[in-house]
Amino acid sequence: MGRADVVSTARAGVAAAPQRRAEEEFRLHPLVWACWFAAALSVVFLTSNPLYAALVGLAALCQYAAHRPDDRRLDYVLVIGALFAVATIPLNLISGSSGATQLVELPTLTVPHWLGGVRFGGPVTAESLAYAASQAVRLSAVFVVVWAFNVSVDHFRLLKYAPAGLAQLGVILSVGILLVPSAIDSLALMQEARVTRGHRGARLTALPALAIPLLRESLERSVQRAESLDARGFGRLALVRRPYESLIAVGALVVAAGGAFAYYYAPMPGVAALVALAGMAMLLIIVLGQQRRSGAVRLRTDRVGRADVMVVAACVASLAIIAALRVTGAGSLVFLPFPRASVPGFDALAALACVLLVAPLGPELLRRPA
Amino acid sequence: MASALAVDAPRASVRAGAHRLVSSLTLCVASAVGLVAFLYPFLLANAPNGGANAAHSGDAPFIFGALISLSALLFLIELSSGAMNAKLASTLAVLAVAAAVLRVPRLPAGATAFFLLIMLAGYVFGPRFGFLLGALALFVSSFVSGGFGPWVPFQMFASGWLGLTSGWLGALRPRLARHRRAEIVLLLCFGAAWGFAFGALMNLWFWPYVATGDATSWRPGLGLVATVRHYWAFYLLTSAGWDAWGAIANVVLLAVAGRPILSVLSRFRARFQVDWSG
Repeated sequence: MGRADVVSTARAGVAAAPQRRAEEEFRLHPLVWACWFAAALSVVFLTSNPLYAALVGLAALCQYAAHRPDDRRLDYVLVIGALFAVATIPLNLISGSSGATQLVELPTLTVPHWLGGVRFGGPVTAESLAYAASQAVRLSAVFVVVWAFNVSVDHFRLLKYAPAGLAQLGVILSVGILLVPSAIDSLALMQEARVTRGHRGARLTALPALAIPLLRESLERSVQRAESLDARGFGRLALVRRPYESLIAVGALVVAAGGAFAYYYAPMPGVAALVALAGMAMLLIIVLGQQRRSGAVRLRTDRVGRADVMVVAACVASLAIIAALRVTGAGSLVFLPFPRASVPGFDALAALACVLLVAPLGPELLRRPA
Repeated sequence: MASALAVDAPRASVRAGAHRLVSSLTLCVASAVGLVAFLYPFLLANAPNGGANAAHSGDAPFIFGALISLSALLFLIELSSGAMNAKLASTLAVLAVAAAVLRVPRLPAGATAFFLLIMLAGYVFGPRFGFLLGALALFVSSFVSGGFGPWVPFQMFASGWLGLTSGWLGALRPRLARHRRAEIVLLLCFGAAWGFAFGALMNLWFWPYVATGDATSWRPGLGLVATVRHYWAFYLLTSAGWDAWGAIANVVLLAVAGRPILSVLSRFRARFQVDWSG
């Protein structure tokens, strides 16, 4: 490399530095994506109105389009998900309809008595069609939210924030993943040995014959790996347990479960929901509080920027609005087209809460060069 | 000094006993709450119907999804928080990744070989190992398939229970040591049963969300008998056929590869249990 090349490379590096800084500044923290995912899913689950579900789905679709990787297989996954959601409509219609407006009458089929004697088919009503279609929209929204999250977040960065109590399992997973390349090498060697011994056949057909030796070889390597783990103090990662903490965690879980059931059985579902939330929050506080006593060393390079704060604020606002509307019974969040088919209601505040979920798109657009 | 040690020894023993008791309690409660989160459609069968509850029927997958995520977290932390034997940990790593890779190739009708290693390893290494293997393998396979969604905690629990029950079945190993054929037949029946059970369990979490038809839908207060009938209709309509293929795949794979894999795993288990202290 000549002097001119060195200089031009250095200049290019200096010129790219502000862009890298901008990219870093607007790259969202992995926990922010987790927050967005939780908020978007919660909003879809808390409303049965297909208009709001469609709005959340559209917001997620924007994220998906912004982060869509080169691997187009994920597009097919989305299409298959949407088809699955659409397929639930005929499945629901043949399993019986109620409502006032009959559209058609399907031939009936009764399953033999020893299989339960269930009856499929019969009249199809406009109300059932509307309800099945609204559920299909909600299901599609869930699919899009899940896939938008999966293409947007870096799973490995997110895993750094797993609770300290799972540190040992994290090491186990890392060891397993590190063994994959050596297993592939072993597979190639075994195949070569087979060919040398005169065996013929493509690799795929040889796989069953190679599977058991490969498993034995991998387990053999794992024993060596275990010695390395021991030498590096693997057992030190074990969390120092405090029985009273475990007891509080168990109590919190029981309170959360009790609150969840009281939501349906008790006369005041709002209070029950708060009790369930309090139990869940207490459990999370205990699990995250174990962080300081863990022997695991964590290397984190993610910083919380202004963009992160704004996106989290938008997600929290969105969820808070929907939760408040749900508790007060306002906002047309519930859609039940029975006994007579109706158009889903629309409320500007609820729609605004759904649109707020498009917030991560802002930093993403700012991160990209013009 | 010696007397101080003599006084400390019973205290340490009492402390260890208390730890074990609390740990067992945590595992029992977390597992029970996990089971409850799966079976909520049946447990809410007698809840007051109508009014707010009818409107809240769609909230159930969300509420119980959050609950099962937390119980899975607590269960895994408790199960893995003790100082783990490095050899077993390393074996767990290999088997979890191998099982996850086996989920990728699709057999006819969407069946996979994913459960093969979990069943056999749980059977050989015991229930605790089986649960961890099932849950971890499922988690790793979610990386492979790129799909993390609200279903993952449910799948981790269901797959963990498969490993756990395989471990319970493994309690019969010493008695079956001289009856190799009976052992394989037992595993084939177990694999066939889990082929259906896994599908039936996994349907439960989204059934209330997906089904709207009169004969298949769920709502709180439907009554236990009606709830069971509706779920059965839903299962017949949507899953029974697919699960039959899954059960057949389990049986064929166990019949073909069960014996050699069992002998490899048993050999390694024996190596881990060597006691050099004499």
